[in-house]
Amino acid sequence: MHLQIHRDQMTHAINDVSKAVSSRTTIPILTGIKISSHSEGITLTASDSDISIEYTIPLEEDGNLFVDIKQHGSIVLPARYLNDIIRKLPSEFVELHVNDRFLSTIRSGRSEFNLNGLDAEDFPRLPQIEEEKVFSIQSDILKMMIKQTAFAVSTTETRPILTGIMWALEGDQLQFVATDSHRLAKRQATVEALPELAFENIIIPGKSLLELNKILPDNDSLIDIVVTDNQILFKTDRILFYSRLLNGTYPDVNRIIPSQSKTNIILNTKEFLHAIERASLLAKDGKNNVVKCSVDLGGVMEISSTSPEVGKVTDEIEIKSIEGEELKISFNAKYMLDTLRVMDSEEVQISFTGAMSPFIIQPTDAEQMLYLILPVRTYQ
Amino acid sequence: MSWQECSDQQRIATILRQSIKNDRVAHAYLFAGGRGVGKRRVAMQLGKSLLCLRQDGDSCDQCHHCLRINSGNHPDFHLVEPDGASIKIDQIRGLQKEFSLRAVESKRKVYILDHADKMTVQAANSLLKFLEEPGSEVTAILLTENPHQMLPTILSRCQVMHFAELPFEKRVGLLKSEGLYEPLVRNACQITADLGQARELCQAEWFAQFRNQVLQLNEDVLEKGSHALVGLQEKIVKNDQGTQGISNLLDLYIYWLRDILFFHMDRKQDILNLDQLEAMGRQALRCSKTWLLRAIQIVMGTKDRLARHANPQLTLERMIIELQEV
Repeated sequence: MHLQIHRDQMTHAINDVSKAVSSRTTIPILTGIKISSHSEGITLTASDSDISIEYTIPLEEDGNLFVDIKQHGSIVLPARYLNDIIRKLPSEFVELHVNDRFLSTIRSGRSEFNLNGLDAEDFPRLPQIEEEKVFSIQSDILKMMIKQTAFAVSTTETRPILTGIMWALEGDQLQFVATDSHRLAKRQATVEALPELAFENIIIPGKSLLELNKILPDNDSLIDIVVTDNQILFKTDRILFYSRLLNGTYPDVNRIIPSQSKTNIILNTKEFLHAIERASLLAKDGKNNVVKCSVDLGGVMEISSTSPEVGKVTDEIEIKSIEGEELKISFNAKYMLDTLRVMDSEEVQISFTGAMSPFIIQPTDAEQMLYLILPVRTYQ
Repeated sequence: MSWQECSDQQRIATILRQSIKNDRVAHAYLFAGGRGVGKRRVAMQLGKSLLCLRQDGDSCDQCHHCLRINSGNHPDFHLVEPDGASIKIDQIRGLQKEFSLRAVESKRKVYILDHADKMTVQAANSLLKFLEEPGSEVTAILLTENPHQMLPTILSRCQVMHFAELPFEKRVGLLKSEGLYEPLVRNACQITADLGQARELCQAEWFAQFRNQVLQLNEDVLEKGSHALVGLQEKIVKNDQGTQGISNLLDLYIYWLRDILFFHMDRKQDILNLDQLEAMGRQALRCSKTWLLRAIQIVMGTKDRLARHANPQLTLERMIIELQEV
């Protein structure tokens, strides 16, 4: 293998793929970055077996030469060193030469590094993509969807399936569901997809999606998505992002979403958020972070919280509109804060079905989002 | 490597191979057997056969699955070994996390737990659930030298495969290759079928001393004097190893007598104490085959009596007298 690569392009590529290099792994090959050349350029791949990132540097773009391939081949080089070496090289181009015993020479300007590589054959194979099974979504919408659901995934491993976000595609509607069994987040969006592509119960680890969020661009460019048996693939201009899927069946969440409500109120999102923030100040150190809300038909909501050792806080906010009966309810303030922080609408609608049953929070202007929180039982 | 090369464990190799062929692979195996009987090799072979591209019940050692298992780089093949003295709960958690995800490449996942008896109680308990309800196509292979130290709850969830001990010559060869003295190795391997125990015996100083004492003892016995009884009192009854030591010594005595018998019958290839042929020759001239057979019988009877808590000194003295009176 013998090639010349534009250094800035290379640094950029290494930066992006490095996110998938795991620092401690039982599989030695995964501490490296695979570099392989093909007719369209070179591809850098890194993987921690949960996620894999592939970055392709084209031969040229807009008349600028990025890669010059003299001899094809592939090699795995240790990520720890490669990153620093390339960043600190003096000249604009980097020359990479690999002999048949995986000893690679990196040359740039007058400096030369000899680096022991590993056999690229040992690197995990990524699934082959079947181009016809693709659906597309705008990058910024996908990012938003992830942000608005990922916070609700479970952080404990007792039920591994809940550490993921469940994806379902039906017609052109893509739906995300995340829950940690105390609260639930659901978000829908319209995508460009053929009707025969429908799937359900595709569960992607929340961690992988947060990692994906860091890589996706903040514009409305289209991201192609392919679901295979074991992995899901996200495809942007130059990057392919693979994530492994979680094993198992996601619980049926539709049954726990109440269809009727006894009390419906509409609140100003910001006001409510601030009030909850204030109320949780005293309860923050406590175990449950419980705040108590009482809704009276006069149009005022009282929010209070008591920590016996510290003190008590009460706050009042105005209810924009109210329907149904009066109600007193307690819930975990953290769950409410998480939810309100990802709300982008000015007003939210909250539908209660009694002090002991879950309640729904929805923005007033979009029906595509739904959040559900389980109340806390208190004896006061 | 293929199943053919697991010739030491032919029976197990056949069972496993057939179960792959008939698609009846259990979700969890426990390989039990002494040190050095090839548990790990067979486990690796099973893993390779399950993941190999050929899928014909054997491994090819050429496809990228087999090659990567050999180099430890296969993402769907996990080997867990004790971290320090035991397998810790975090290692099991890591494994559980890994197995909550779908496989990376194939449909199947394999994990090997070496020294599974060294799991901490917490680790073993957290493994339980996961051993019981494997997600999809997961094959667990637990390796242990002490199946009796495993939690019964784990044992009951695995298909237990008992590995046969290695044949005598094989064990001798193995220990010899570790640089141990051959005549000692041959005696030790005769006394115990366990490789580790035999190794310990060969390395112990008292074991080598006992062998020389046995030689001397037989010499004294053949002298027909009272020397034998005095020597017995001085060296043997008061040995540092206690009753177990006497039992080992009698074992050595039996094998020495048997060696003389072999010498008589010209079956030199079976002789254990290869370095003492000269002394053996000298003693062989002074005892008949009938005496040797009778003597072996007496020593075995003595061993038996000692195991039933007879007074060691009286029993041994009786043995000497009996031997001299035959």
